[in-house]
Amino acid sequence: MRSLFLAGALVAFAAAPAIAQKFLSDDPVARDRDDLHIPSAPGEIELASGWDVYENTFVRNGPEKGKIPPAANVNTLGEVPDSSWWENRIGVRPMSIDELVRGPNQGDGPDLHGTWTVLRGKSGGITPGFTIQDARGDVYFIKVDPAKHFGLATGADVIGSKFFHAFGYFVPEMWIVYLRKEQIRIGSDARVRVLGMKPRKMVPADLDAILTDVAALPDGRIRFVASKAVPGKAIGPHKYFGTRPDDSNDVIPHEHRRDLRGYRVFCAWLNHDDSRSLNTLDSYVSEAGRSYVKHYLQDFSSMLGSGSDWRRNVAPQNPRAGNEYLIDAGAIVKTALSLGIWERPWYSIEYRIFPEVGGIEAVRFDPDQWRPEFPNAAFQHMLPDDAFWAARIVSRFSDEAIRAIVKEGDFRAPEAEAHLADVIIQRRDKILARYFGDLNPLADFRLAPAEAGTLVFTNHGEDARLGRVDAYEYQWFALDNGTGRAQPLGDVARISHRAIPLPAARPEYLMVRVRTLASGAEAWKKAVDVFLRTRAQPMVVGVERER
Amino acid sequence: MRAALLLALLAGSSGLLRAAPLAEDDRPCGWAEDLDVGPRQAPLVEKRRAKCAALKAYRPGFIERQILAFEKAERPPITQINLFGLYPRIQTIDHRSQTAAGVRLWRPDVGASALDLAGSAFWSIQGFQYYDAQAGVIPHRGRSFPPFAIKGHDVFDLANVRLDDNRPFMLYAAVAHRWAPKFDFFGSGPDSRREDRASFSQRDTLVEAVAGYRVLRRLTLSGRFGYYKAAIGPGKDDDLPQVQDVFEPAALPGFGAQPRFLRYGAAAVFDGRDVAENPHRGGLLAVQWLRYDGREASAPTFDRFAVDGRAYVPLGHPQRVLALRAYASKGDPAAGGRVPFYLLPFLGGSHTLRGYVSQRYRGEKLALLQAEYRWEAAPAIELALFADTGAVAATAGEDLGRFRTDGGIGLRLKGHETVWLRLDFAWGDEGFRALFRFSPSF
Repeated sequence: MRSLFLAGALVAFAAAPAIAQKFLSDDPVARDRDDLHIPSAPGEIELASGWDVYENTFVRNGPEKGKIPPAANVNTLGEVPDSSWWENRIGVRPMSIDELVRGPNQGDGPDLHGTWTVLRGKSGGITPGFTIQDARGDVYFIKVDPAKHFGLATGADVIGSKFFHAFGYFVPEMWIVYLRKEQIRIGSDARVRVLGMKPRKMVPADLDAILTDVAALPDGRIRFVASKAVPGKAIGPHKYFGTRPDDSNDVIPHEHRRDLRGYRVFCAWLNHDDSRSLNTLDSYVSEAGRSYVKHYLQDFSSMLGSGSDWRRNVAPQNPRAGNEYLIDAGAIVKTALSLGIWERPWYSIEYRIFPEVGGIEAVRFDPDQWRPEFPNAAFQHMLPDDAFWAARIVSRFSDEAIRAIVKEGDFRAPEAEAHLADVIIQRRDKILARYFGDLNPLADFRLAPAEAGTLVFTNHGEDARLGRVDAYEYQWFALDNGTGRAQPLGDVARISHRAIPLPAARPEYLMVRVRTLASGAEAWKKAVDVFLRTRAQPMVVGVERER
Repeated sequence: MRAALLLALLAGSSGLLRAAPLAEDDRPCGWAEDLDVGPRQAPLVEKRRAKCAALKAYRPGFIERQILAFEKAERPPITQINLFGLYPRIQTIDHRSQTAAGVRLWRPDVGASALDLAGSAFWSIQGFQYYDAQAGVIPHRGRSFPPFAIKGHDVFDLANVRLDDNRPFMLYAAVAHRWAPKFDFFGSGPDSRREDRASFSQRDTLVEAVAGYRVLRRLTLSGRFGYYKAAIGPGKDDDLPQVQDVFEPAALPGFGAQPRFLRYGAAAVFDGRDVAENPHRGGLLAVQWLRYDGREASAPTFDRFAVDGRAYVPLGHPQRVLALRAYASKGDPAAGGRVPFYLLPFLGGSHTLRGYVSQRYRGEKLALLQAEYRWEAAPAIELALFADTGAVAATAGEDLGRFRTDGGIGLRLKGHETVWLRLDFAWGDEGFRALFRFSPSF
């Protein structure tokens, strides 16, 4: 049979010659201890946006097909353990609607009764804004929408924070708030950065410039998105390849992290084409006597249907966004040589544009063809296993959950809100259809407490209505953990439901090979090997999938 | 401190890594009080602790540092470097000037008023000099420079006049002086010969006032009144003969003496282009009347009428545009008079007949048709196939002569609102020309 694959550094690193056993006592690893103490804070990295584009477009070569190693931060179950990058949330447990819409938010948001004191400002760029301290002393980054696009960027920002938090990433707390301009004053030391000019002392005219022609309620209150400063000391963004040389815990190349490879699936789903390094943030945090680097995603204002126009003002997404890199040599050459007769396929996409939610569609959305603004090394290294992992997480979002999260955008435009939710739902279904069709979509293997002696599982493909299962074929083996050899414990058997009876024999390790027989879903016949440790408390310790 | 770490590592050999409690200051890199990892995690923990000894700061490379400095405005863009509004510039300033270096003064909205101040001083490697000063409400958009003061007497340049959206009028005075040591003259009329190319120098002084108002959203009317004086002298091109050595006096009207002119006129410009310097749709129609009123008794007085029409037609998609231009000019001297040869409009050069050298065909009357098929390979990369055809007549009473035609291909790098760089390769009867410009063709 074709090779089965057990991925991961948490596997691969340990699979050094000194460790001959297939499964070790701490498998499956639930938490990657990349939070070891770093005595002094790494320096702040300032990444040039232009360099980020240039380096990823022209300097780095994409990986050679067929030579991409498996993800290096997965455990023997194929899951991503908790770490300073990732915390398993909706992928491993149900999240209530309340929990989903609360997202990363711990508190109530900025104080709206007192005065906001501006600490610094940024005029120009896609989303001009400023940093404030509220009456409680908390610091927030504040951004606004243009008057003609109520909610476009701020709504996307908040919605993005909730989705990406639910996936498992660390994101800032974020709120949409409404406040009168009179409640904002410029701090005595506030400085402003105007695009193309050196920072200087901020004056009232700077605040006026930022708050002129911005979205507001009929009563005059201005709409803001307030993003709370993340805990710790900000030390700049991380790249999507290599490791930070000043972070001792960062030893797994980022392009080999499943949480960053799978990020492509999430970004494609939500059209987060602005998923660049500059929209990440590392922070030097302290807890339990240790200080270490924690990795955040931030700024989701340019995703879904929100983007910018050629002047870099907030505007509905450019139709190119999500369909083509900023610089796509292939498309350029084809257009040039064909005298312009060859047209980019996305030229013919028809977007339904709403001022509040911009332009996003699902009919022509193709997860494989989706593109961020420029090549992303982690995305380029995504393998089917990585995509399957991410798609499983996507599948956890019900229609109701999606609509509830979209509602948090507070667009005050029911038709636009419904359209956005519908598109997200349709794009979700396309993600599932694409990535549950490549592999046998069985997952979440566990020993059923209610049905002692059975191994139950989830069929994500069937749950997504991608096929109708005729039967499951399985065969039990006794696994020699020292040699990795498997001896059959019986013949191949079939069941029609999702519960495999355990064999009577109880070697230390059991393995069951499962295939899904479903008409029209050939890939589902690929084997999934599930490993159980039968000591004292039997448990599933490993899952391997045939590619 | 290290002993504690060693103890922890030794503990790892028995299957578990455990760190002993340590005082805060003694906590080494890689320490964790609650560390309790098994054999699967241990190699990663060891790798992390090993990295502790090899930590180094992120060091951006040279190019990255330059880009970052630019983005942080630590170093302003080279185009924004100025001293009290004086901007150093390297650019061409006239036909045959080649590269010129100089400074431009640009102080828009002085003291938050409507008053703008502009000035220029340039010297070219071919010895050309140009100086001007402008004051008043000068047409411009944002902080972009206004056109040179000497421009504007040609209908082509009217298309480049930009009135700010918030200030739909212009009212300014200008003074300009140009020294062009080596202009070319091939003779006037359609039968001028390439081998008759001869040199002359021209010194111009212009003082004028200009007023204009955007009467409709796309329609601007303007008028100008001023004083113009030119002085013609020996050409400084050592490789060419002097004009008087090649041409009979009758073929060089105005060579003997150059009068002073009062110059005044009016123009109307309808600008329906979507983006002025990077149009994808719409059109432009500029009409101009300009009178050169000779002040000496023997001086010729003549009118010039010119029209410049342009259309930009998207072909199925804005990435494909058919750009068309028709340009005609007619000098109308008083009875028996002639337009001085140095004031004859001409064809040839980067905006007209691109396969012919600049100033190649001069005449009191001329017509030009241009067509470009432009297609964008990317928003910033445009290619073009083009063809130009034009004809001149030596005097207004004659018919236009044989149309000269050229064709070629172009590559343009551009932003949304402007062409940064234009590279046109043109072929005509007189050979091949490569044109390298920082402006759109039309």
